[in-house]
Parts: sequence; structure tokens; C-alpha cells
Amino acid sequence: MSGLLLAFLADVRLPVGTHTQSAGLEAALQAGMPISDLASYVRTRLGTVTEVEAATAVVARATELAGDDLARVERAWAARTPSRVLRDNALQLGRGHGRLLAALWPSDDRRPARHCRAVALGMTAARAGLSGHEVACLVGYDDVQSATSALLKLEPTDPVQVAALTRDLIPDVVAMADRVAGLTEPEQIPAHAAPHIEMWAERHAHTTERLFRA
Amino acid sequence: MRTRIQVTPGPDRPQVELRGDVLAPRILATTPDGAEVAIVGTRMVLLAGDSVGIDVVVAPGGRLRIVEPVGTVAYGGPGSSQWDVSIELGAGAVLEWESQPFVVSDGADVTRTTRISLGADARLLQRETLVFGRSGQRGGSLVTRLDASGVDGPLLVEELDLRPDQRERVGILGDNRVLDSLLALGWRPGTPADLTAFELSEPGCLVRHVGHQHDHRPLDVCWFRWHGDL
Repeated sequence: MSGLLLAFLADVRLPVGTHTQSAGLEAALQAGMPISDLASYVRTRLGTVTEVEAATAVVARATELAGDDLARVERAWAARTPSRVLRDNALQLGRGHGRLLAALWPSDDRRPARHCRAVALGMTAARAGLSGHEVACLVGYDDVQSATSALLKLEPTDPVQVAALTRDLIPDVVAMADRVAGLTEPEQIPAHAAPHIEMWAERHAHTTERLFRA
Repeated sequence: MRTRIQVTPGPDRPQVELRGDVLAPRILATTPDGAEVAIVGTRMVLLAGDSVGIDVVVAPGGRLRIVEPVGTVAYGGPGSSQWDVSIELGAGAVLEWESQPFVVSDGADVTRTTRISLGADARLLQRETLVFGRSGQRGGSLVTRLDASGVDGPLLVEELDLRPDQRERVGILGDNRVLDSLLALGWRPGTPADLTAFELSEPGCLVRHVGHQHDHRPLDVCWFRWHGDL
């Protein structure tokens, strides 16, 4: 069941706004990154900004299961996400995931709160019965798929080649999930930064011609 | 042994406690509520194997300006080196730390840690210029960790893995050799439009400039602007 549930939550057809995301690829290409760097770019993300997102989801899941306050997790995430553009984007995505969560796995013991995507996904994992490793894989896979799928719109190329590249990155997603799956406390969330990725995201937000929000 | 600078405002002049090690603090000037202190190396720093610690404490209402007359070169050699800074600002305290470039030469293996604790209404302005390699070099290894917290929790937490193979990756620094950062904590300063500015979730701002060669000018303009807010 949980394998199919994971596929369900990773499905781009879910109404959570993933079609607006390029995992920073549009920003990177605008900054002059060659397409040939795509795999390396995604791996950089998996070791830095995406690992922070995945770890946040893992810790949010553990916090939700323990019945503790998610505000500490939210704050730890915000302190590790200096880019306001990326925080705003994550909060917007969090709204979509929050709506889904409220409808599919309702809970009556919570006041409505604004959460970033990673925290909303962690709450979803807790209520839907996904493991920490699964939710970390979900965040990593979503990031890979966002970048590779965005390439098809930004620089049309052979979709089969792009699918092959996406599949080849799956072991990197699992390795990242292995690193963060056991975390339980907000202070343990890694804070790996990627200066260029963060700078590109800020510049991208101020450009007028773009297909993707981030 | 660690270098220590502690400033406590007094009725007529501040109480300034200094303790030096391989880095010696020297008072340049005082005002009733604060001091200006230079940090001077008493021998070559930072050699492989060195472990340098700097503790800065500014009592409530105090003001401290730290200047470095010259930059620091981390030399290559057997053994790793540490550069560890701890900053504690009391309520309403102000710290301005105008550092000079930190150059990581070939063969160096450096860990830089910075812990910042900010009291209510305290303000910090700090510059960090990291340069990889002396002229013609690729540069050695550097890993940095910054933990800044206020009275209600974390303000900014950042780890940078800047070992050669990592920092040259696409999305980190690529083939750039300089990472210049300006950090303001405790208020929301205005930012020049031509710079990449990260407005933090809590009051504060981080401005970054990445380049092939060290050029202090892009962030100097911002420094002078923010300096006026202190």
C-alpha cells in the first residue's frame, strides 16, 4: 500500500502546483549554465538545498507523530533558507499541500497554520503512514523530476533521454534519503548551502520572462 | 588559549577586557559606550595545525568595532587548522566587524566556525571575504559553519562545504575563487538593487558577491550604507 501511496503523492497530476516548479533550472540556464551540466546540477541540489528540504520533512514527520510543536521545525527551516524567494515559493507550495492534507487526511486537533512545503509534506507523511525515508525520497524525487521535466519545456529535447537521466539519478535520491531519514530534532537539520543556486533563484524572481515560478 | 575582547559600557568610559594569543587585540579608540579594537597577528597565522579562537562579548548597550589591518592567509602543510569565532551581544549591543580577506592557500585544510548570539535589539554587521588560492593557485579546503541565534531561536544557520571538488561544482561556486559576504543581523537594512541580497526570515540580510578575482568594491558600497544604520 505505501508504495502506491508514495507514487500517488509523487504524481505530478496532484493539484499542488508542481507544474510551476523547475527546481531552479530555469534560473540556472538564465545564469548561463550549459544543459550538459544538468545531472551535475541536480546532484549538487541533492547534496545541499534539497537535502535541507528533505531533512525538514523528515523532522516535521517525527514532530507531528510526537505531537510536538511544528513551529520550531518551521523556524529551523527558515533559518536554513536565506533566500526570501525560495521561502515564499515553499510557502506557496505548502498551501497546496496543506489543502490536500486537510481534505484527504483531516485532523481536528490543529489550528490552521501556514507551513512550508517540507513541513506540510512531513505532516502528510505522518498522517498517511509514510516512513521518514519515504518522505525524504519523495522530496528528492520531486526535485529531480521538476528539473528534468522543466528541461523539456525550456530546451526541447528527447523525452526518452530525459527519462533515462531521471532514472539514473534515483540512486542519488536514495543516498540522500539515507543520510536524513533518522533525524528527529530541528537542530539536526543540515544547513548545506549552495551560493550560486540561491543567488540565481533571487535574480530569476526579478526577471519578467519566465515559464516557472522557481 | 583564545583571544578575547569584552566591552562593557561605563559612565565615563567603557571597561574593555582584552586577552591575546597569536592574535592580539589592540585598542584604537574608546567612547563612553564602546571601543574600536584592532586584531593583530603576533606571528604568522594561520599555519597548518593552528587552532585560533576569538571570543567577543559586548555587554548590553555596548558598542564595539573590530578592524583587521591585514588579511589572513591559511597556509598549507601537515595537519588541519581551525578558526573559531564566538560572538555574544547583549540587549541593544552593536558589533561591527570589518574583516579582511581570508585566503585559503593550496594544501590548507581549514574549518571555520562562527557562533553568534544576539540579545534583544542588538545589531551585528560582519563581512567575510573568502579567497581560494594565492595568485595562480587553485586553493585548499575550507568548510564553514555559521550558527546565529536570537532570543527566540535561530536567525541563520549555514554550512558551506568549500573543499576544491565540492566548491567547483555547478551551483556552488563553479570556477569562481572569491565568495564575499556581508551579514547584517538585528534589523532590516535597505539593499542596493545591483547586488544579490537575501532578506532573512528574521530581521537581517545577507548580501553575496561571487567573483574570479578579489574585488572589494561591490560590497563596499553596501557596507558603508549599512554602517550608517548602526
